[in-house]
Amino acid sequence: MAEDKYKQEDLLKIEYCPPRKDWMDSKIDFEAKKGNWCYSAVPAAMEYLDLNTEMGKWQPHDKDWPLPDNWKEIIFEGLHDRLKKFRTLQIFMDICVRCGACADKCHFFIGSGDPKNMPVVRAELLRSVYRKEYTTAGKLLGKMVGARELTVDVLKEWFYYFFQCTECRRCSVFCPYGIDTAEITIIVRELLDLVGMNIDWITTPASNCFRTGNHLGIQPHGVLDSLEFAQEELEDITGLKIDLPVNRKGAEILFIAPSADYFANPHYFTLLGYLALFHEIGLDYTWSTFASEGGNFGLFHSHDMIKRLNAKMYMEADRLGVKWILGGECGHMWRVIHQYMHTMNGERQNGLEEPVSPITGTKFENAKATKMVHIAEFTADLIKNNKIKLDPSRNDHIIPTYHDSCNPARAMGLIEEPRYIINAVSNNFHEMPENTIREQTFCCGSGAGLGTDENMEMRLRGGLPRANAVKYVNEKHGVNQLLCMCAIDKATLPPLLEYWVPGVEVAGIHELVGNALIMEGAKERTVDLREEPMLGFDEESEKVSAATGEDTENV
Amino acid sequence: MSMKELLQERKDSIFEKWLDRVIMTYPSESSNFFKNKKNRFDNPIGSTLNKELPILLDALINLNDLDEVSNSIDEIVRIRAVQEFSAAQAVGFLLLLKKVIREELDGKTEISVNVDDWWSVEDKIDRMVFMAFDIYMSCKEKIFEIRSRSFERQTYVLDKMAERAAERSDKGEEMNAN
Repeated sequence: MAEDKYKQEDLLKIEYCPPRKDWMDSKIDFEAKKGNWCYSAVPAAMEYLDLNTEMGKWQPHDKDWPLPDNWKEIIFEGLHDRLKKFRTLQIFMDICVRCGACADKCHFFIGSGDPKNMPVVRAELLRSVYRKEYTTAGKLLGKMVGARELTVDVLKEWFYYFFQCTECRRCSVFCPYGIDTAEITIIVRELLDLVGMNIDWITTPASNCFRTGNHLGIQPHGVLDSLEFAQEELEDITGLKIDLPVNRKGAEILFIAPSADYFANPHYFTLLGYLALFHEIGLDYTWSTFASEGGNFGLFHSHDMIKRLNAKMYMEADRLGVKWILGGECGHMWRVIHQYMHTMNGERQNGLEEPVSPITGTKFENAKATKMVHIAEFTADLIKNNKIKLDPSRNDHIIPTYHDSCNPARAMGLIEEPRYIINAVSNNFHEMPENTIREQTFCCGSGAGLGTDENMEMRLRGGLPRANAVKYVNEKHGVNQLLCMCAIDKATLPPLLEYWVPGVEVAGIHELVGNALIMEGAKERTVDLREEPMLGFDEESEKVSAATGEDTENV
Repeated sequence: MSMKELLQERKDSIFEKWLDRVIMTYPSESSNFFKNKKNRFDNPIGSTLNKELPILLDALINLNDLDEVSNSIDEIVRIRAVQEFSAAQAVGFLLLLKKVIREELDGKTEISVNVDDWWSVEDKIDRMVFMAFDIYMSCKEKIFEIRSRSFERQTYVLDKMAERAAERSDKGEEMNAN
């Protein structure tokens, strides 16, 4: 029997290439592709956010997805509404000439070679359906003009590939028409949300945020506990009992940081840096245990959800009676603030004023509309005006490079300020290659809600272009720390580097500011904010220096 | 002509064909990009293959200590371990070399190779495959370690708070005991 079935000469004909497939062939084998997709949202979180829960409990590898009966109708109604509402979407659907300029710019394509990770093809997954529904040529000629029916397999393909886009917008930098593929991803995710398809790593944080004010679901006393703990730790390190204003009415400035800063490593060291800085300059400010999250996972759901989660910033500013808002090191938080906040919630800006630094008198005209200033702008301005004393040699044990976090770099153009700060607090800064930084920065591979664990293989290959550039400066200059100013980066770059460039740590910019900051009345510093010895400042070095008669004065 | 001389003479051609075959393990729409995009930062996969495959080929020809090329195998397998390949596909790129060399010899009657030499080359490729498989497994283990360690990072401050509370409670107990 076996001889009939398997012939030796046939078995020896091994085909080494994957079979050629029509790109419209959309069947995804989720079971075989574990490591490439994320778990679905839990119904309780969906319910909390008033989202469609008809699908109940399901997972992408289930054979049949329990879609609502009228799922197609829901999608087309949603698409129709959005085409009317967003002129950009209509334009992006019509004007792409498939020139291919974006094709090889996506980190997921570069790291995988999957053609559907080319931004142009990913967008075609929606465009093909749009053509069939809305264009005469598409209706008449179908596949010949790149049009196709919306089927369950197409919908599954959307779920697979639009949760393989981090909305980083690197592709849009190269598009001669200015098509923003991130906006296409945002719209498709909105459509999927309408039928009840989202992922847990996005939906649970968003529902936490709606309940407690932050993605981690930390209640007000938890936020306070963490801040008080940080206050104690800073006292151990500096000998100073730093100010800790929380929910203080009448403060001039409200400070809002991403919630990971309260609890996670290495975010927390950046939080220590903020606290030390604000204490040293005597800033009249307050933390809030209610507006306790700068990030906004609404961005990965829908425009409505962005607005809903963002509103608390202005409402809390109003409750506390502050004049303006200062924001911490976060990525997508700043895309929301810079591009949507004023339009969505501007009418809630009761009593807020155009931000002016109380320390330098600098007017932040760029923040006139939002009344919210990025901490990198604020600190760079302090340094420029000589308002703080810094000793960069305290960071001599760190050889840093800087990863431009996608959203601050590409969504708000914050490119020089972080570098200005890093050069003031470090003697050892080295840039990565030009085509991997600034506007062309490579994403961490885990943004836009993809920073979960079940899709780790996908994250690691998506982050390969970034890690590859870090590896280069690590080998060439001995770089041992990757700086960034995004909470997602701080969570996702450590595993990425552990896999590709072991030995390189991740840190926020204000962690290095906190290390270098000379604080009045502080005890002599021997350790950095991680309580690790600083080169030339630790006791061992002092002993060596004393023996050789070298001056150990450092401040 | 000895096997070594033969491989040395045809090294460039073998490398080109091997590279083509390895790139063909990716979808055909991407092969042009991997092959032709030269900048190492825009095309880390193509650049890695261009850099490391010749090193492996050299080791095969010159019968160097294979441990020396472990790093080159690692560079390639580390990438393939996180791509959509099965374990066999991830390490199988080395076996493609056998096929390329056979094709290079096939039908060329003027070439006669000592069979022991040929077996020694095949053995060496087989050893490289075993090394690749070990590396592949260590990459997969690393991924699981990373997954479990990410939880520790998320609860860093909570763990430190708990440690401090425990220290205080120990001190309190000591004081009470005194």
